[in-house]
Amino acid sequence: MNDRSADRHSDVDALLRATLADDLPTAVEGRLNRQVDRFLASRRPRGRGPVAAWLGPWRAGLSLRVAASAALLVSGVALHLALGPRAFAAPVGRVQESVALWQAIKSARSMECGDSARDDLGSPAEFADRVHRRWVLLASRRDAAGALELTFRSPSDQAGYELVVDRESMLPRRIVKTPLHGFVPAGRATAGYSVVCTWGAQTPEERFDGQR
Amino acid sequence: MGLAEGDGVPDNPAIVGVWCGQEPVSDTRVEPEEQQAEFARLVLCRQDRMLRTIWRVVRDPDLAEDALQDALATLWRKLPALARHPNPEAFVLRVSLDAACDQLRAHLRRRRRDAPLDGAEAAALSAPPAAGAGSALCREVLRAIGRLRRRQATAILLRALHDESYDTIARTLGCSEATARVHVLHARENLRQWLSHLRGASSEETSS
Repeated sequence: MNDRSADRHSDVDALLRATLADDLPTAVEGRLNRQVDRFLASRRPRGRGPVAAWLGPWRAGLSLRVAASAALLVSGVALHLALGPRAFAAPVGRVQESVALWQAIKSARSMECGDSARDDLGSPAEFADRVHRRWVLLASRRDAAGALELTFRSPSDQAGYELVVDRESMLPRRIVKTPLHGFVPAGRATAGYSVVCTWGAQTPEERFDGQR
Repeated sequence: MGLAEGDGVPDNPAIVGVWCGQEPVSDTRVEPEEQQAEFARLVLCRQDRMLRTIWRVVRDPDLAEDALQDALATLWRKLPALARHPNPEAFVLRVSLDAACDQLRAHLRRRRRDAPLDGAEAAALSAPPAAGAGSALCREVLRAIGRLRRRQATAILLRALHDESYDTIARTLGCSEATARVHVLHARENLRQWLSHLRGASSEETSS
């Protein structure tokens, strides 16, 4: 008689098999199956739903993006504190002065600034376009006589322009051009000059017609 | 007969770690999704047998739930060892039986502690929660199983209820086959002695 047959005839084993019958009730089985489901749900990694899956690639480089954003923010603050706003752009008040200058030049009927300035700046409309679109206002200040001194930089011909503007008409009385960093002008551009300008202003009727 | 604890410990370090109460050594970190899939492959496919095994020992819905929770947590923790085990089925059954026997013992302890009476009343109160008809005999058997040592209980239940071979019991317990036989033998002797007052068991004892 082998082990298994001997065990089957064991009184204790028979008693255990008889009393501890395999009779799991259906209701208890369902309850235990739900317990298994709850266990699996508790072990499921959190935050991995459809939204998390959609955000997956973005979340992967999240730390890198945060670091880069922080570095850019710190750089911006440091740059602002170190160099100030004048290094790059004029404040709003000076932009208004620049716009007023552009409008005054554009509406002028004639401009007399000497040959060199006329060759360089062209007609009042061209001059106004330069002031408004191409030149960068670097500084503005008032001189002792109350006139407005505006300093521009022209990136296209690498020159600086200093305009002394009349406060009443907002037209430049004096224009000084200074080449930057030994720049050698080409074509119709001229070297530095300093000229005094006279302007033929529009009559009120002409200005009214122009505005219409 | 003396029985050394380290007797018959298998060579597989993962199994040794499990049965010595240590965490199994995992070579690589497993992703949660992979662990879920591994758990489904090794455990959930034996879910029905787990539930029935636990029920046969505790025979109470609340105790069965607690035992199942303990068994699932243990299997989840020891999943790497389970994956390397030569007989995963027996591994799962052993964990289920251990969890069920632990719940049964804890229940009997609670009943004794909460009702420190003597005589027949105390015996009735400390009875295990067997449901259904003929529960008196079942309670006696469960109480006797609760008195067995853990390894003896696991060995005799694997042998009697699941008809596992001694070789499988030995692998599951992490001992030699001879030691497994000793565990089963001692369990039978103890149960026979404790249940000798039951007429059916006594009559069968004489026949064997």
